[in-house]
This record gives sequence, structure tokens and C-alpha cells, in this order.
Amino acid sequence: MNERDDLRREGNDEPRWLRLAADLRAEPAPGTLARVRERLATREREPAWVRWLGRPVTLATSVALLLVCAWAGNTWIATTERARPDGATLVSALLDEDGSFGLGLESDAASPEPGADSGAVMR
Amino acid sequence: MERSNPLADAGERELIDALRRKDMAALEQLLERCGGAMATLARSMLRDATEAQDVVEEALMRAYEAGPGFRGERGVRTWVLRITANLCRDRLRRRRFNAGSLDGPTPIEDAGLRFDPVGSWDENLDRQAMAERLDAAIARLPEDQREVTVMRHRLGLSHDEMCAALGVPLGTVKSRLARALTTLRHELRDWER
Repeated sequence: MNERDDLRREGNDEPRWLRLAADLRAEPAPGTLARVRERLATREREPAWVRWLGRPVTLATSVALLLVCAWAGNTWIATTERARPDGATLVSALLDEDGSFGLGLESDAASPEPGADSGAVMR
Repeated sequence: MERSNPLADAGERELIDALRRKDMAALEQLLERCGGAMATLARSMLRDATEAQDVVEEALMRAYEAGPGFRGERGVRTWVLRITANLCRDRLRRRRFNAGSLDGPTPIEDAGLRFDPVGSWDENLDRQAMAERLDAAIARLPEDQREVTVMRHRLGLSHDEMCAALGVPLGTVKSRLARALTTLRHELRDWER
């Protein structure tokens, strides 16, 4: 149904029974004003930074800060990589020559005899 | 003895000025003049009396806090109903996010609505039963259509007031009303005969 059809329909007489919709009403609960005053007073007693945290703009600010930090970090890493003449990267600096993260573990070739608690079958 | 509010007989302009000054008497007057419409809108939209009451209180707090920046171009009633409608939409969005959906419309007592006949009804029909059936049909309407139906037919807002309260163009308001009416006519087709 497009808007023009809707507008034409709206011009038609509304059914009489639709007036019954106005029969259902509500009123605020008694003591509403007192509770609102109390809530306002509580809110005003809160420190400014707590009130700031409760605002929707906080989420937007947090996302913006996250993006700025990600961009700054990325730029810093890229700059550091370019400044290193041997082309070493942060990961390669952390890795040992054999790629073992420098934990000093020896390979199987270096120690052919399995340990007593290795679970290997001894012949 | 009940204290009288200095703004009890104040005009719209005086009330707006008092709201700008963050005068507590203005808040009381706001509740007096618009509290019923706010509660009716919130309860019709949320179908939960407790949550609706919380929305009314929150809306009054927001009106009080935003008072100094209120220009008053479109009237106080429209303004507070806009705040209330926005809060209701937030609550309904949160409900959907929390996967809490209504299986069906809750009875009018649970929603906190009260049967209060307006005008005359000359037919030999159970007016309350019909109003309840109509309310159930309104409660099943999609959120945007329910909003305009309640504002128009329950609160009696004009098209312009609805545009201001909802922040949408006139065409959108009319379109939503027409679609809502089509659905209601279909649901209550046995009344059309």
C-alpha cells in the first residue's frame, strides 16, 4: 500500500466504534510528584562523573576513544617498523631463531632419548 | 490543608517560563495538566503499569532537566508527550533486545488503564466489552501504528500535534493512521455490519 492510497483512505469517515478508544484512560499513580522530586534530589547528589557515565553520549565518546586509540596504535607500530633497518618486526623480535618464542625447549633431534615420564616405549 | 500552586491558573507562556527557571511548581503543574495523557500513552504502549509509571516519572525528570533549553514552539503537552513516546520506544527496543516479547496484549487492568466512558453511546451494547476488544486490537498493532492510534483516538491529538510529538512528517502520520484503521476494521469486521 503506498502513501497516496493511505491518504485517500484517511479521508474516509472513521467508524463510530473508534470513539470507544477514548474510553480507556489512565492517571499517574498517587505520589508521583514526590517520587520525581526524590529521584531528582538523588540524581543531583551523584558526583558529576557518575551522571556523565549515565548519559548516552558516553557510549559514543567511548567508541570514539577506542577508534582513536586503535588508529594511534596502528600508526605507532607502522612507524616503528619503518624505522627498523633490518626489517625486524615486533613478532620476529619476540621469536627465537627456531621460532620457539625463546622458551629454551630442545627439539626431538637434539634429545633422541625420551624422558622417563614421556610415555614413549623404550626398546 | 492543600497548598495551592502559584501556576494553577497560569497560561502556557507562564508555564514555559517557569519550566525554564526550573521551578518545581512548574513540574507540579506539568503533572497536573499532562500527567493523564502521559500515563495513558505509556500504559497503552507498554501494557505494563509499573513500567509505564516509571516512564512517566522519568519523562517528568527529563522535562525538568531540559526545561531551561525548551523553546516552547510547539506547546508543553506535545513536548512532554514526545519525551514520553521516546522513552516508551526505548523500553520496547530494550524488550526486543532482551528477547522479551508480548505473546498477546495484556488485559486492561494489567496495563493500568481504566474504563472511563466518554460521550454517549445509544446502542444496546456492552460498551465496556467493546472498548476492551478494541483495546486488545489496538494493542496488537505494530508499534508505530499503535502510537498514532493512541495519540489520535485516545488522547485526541490533532495531526499537527502528532507530527510534533513524533517528529515525523504529516504524510507519515496519516499513512500510519490509515494502515492502523485498515487493520482495526479487519479485526473488528463483525462490528461493521
